[in-house]
Amino acid sequence: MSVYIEPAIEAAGLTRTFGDVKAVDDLSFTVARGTITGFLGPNGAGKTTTLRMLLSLVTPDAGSATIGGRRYVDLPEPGTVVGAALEATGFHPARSGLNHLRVYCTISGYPLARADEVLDEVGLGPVKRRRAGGYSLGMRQRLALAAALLGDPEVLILDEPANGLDPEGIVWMRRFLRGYAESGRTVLVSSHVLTEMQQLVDQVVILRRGRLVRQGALAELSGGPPWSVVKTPEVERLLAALRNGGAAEPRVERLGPDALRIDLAAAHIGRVALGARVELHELTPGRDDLEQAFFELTAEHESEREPA
Amino acid sequence: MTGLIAGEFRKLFTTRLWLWLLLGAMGLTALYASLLIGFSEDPDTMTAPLNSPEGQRTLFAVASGGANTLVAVLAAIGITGEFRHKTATATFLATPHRGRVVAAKLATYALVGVAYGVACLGVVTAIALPWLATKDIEVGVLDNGLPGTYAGVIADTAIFGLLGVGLGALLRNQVATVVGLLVYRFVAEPILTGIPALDSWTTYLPGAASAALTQVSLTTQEYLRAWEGGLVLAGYGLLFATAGALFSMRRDIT
Repeated sequence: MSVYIEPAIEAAGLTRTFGDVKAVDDLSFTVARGTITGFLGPNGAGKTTTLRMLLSLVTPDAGSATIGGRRYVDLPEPGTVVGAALEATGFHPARSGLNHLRVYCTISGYPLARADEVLDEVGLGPVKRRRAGGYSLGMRQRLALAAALLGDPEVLILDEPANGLDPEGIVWMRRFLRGYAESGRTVLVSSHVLTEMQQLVDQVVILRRGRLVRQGALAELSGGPPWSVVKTPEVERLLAALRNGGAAEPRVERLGPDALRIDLAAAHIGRVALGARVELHELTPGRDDLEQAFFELTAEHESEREPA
Repeated sequence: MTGLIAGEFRKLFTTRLWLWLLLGAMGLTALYASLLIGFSEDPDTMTAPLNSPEGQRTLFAVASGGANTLVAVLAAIGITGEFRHKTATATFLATPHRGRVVAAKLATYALVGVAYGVACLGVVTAIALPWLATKDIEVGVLDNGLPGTYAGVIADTAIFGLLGVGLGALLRNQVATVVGLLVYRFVAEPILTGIPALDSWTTYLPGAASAALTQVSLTTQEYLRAWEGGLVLAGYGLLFATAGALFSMRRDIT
């Protein structure tokens, strides 16, 4: 028995140029089985191009993309291995959601009843006989997801599935994907809306300008030193108390006449302020969260900007 | 492949376009047949009298003209619609070998062409038999070489299905394909075939090859033998489809 568990998805040296623009540049990453991996990056970072290369829809100039060790185009029954929801627009407007899915049941040899099942799963049962052209963006996202589920695949690849969903829909999608991954299956989900991802993904692959910036566990990414925002009418007394109480001088940034950003945990500041009887009007723990880390990782550097 | 073809039929029958174009083809056929019969006794008519075998073959061959262009349009929309409505993504996810998708559409729209041809021949029969009976002309539907004409019409409408798929696979753009088809059929080729000096090669154009299939032409132009016309016409369709599958269908689906 081999102890090596083959990754669900593997990209190696993927490169694709459109005109003068390197949309994806020597990109390598893996997605482990049974994880939910967030595929993150600002708009235009190359996420969609990469996902389409994984699915043999876009041809890479160099490198390879495999799912379960094979190129998508070489999978004998691709729909049972990987399901993909790439865009919420790929429907004939005059065809009902049910008929749209039945077409692909027929092509892939699934029973037609499978279309009804997945429509119920994504909550489109009541509208399945209506023309897809009349669906809201949220319904289209669900229909795209339903299409991805038809073959009951091991791997789901979703491109910005939360786009156009209302907050309730986003909560639903998150819960759905959690449940999907809990059964041991794999999800790769792209997004530029990071706060949604934070509550969903275990692993992240971060892309900037077509290149890999970071791959790893979400927990490693968002753990930074603590900081807090404090409002007090007695700024100097508070700072003096903190200097007396702490070993090292904390970094302090003045945000206003009575507001500070201090690189200390909120609990520590609160304790010191109470001991020194300093009046506080606000004490907020800073959130060094994914969004922050993401922003720092993907920030444009002046030297890299394209000449105007 | 049978699943793929069944899937293409499901795509076709889950929207209404096939029905509107079928009604259009039947209406056009009815119009052509009525004009031909109505003016058959006009002294200036170019067609053979309807009590002659040749006249009857000409009459039944109008089914081809009524149906073939619309079959090609339906087929072209069937393939270019995948790009227009972005269903190409789902289609190529289900069938990553794109050449197989083109092959399934060729088979599907050839069968659709057969059905259109049969329906339009039915229209001619329904109009001609009672109308000609009032003129004391009895049509034996299996006499006077008419079965050959039926075969020609059905082959013609089937091959126009191949042409539509082939051209659509090559161009991918729906408006360009449909407009191109119509302009070619109704403007470009009639102009080219109207130039007698070009006769030696205009007989190989699709419209002339189509006329050869039914051995009926309302112009004075020479045409090929029926089987030659069929091969030439199918050759265009398969050439376009192969070029489309090798080049434009391989392009990125974004």
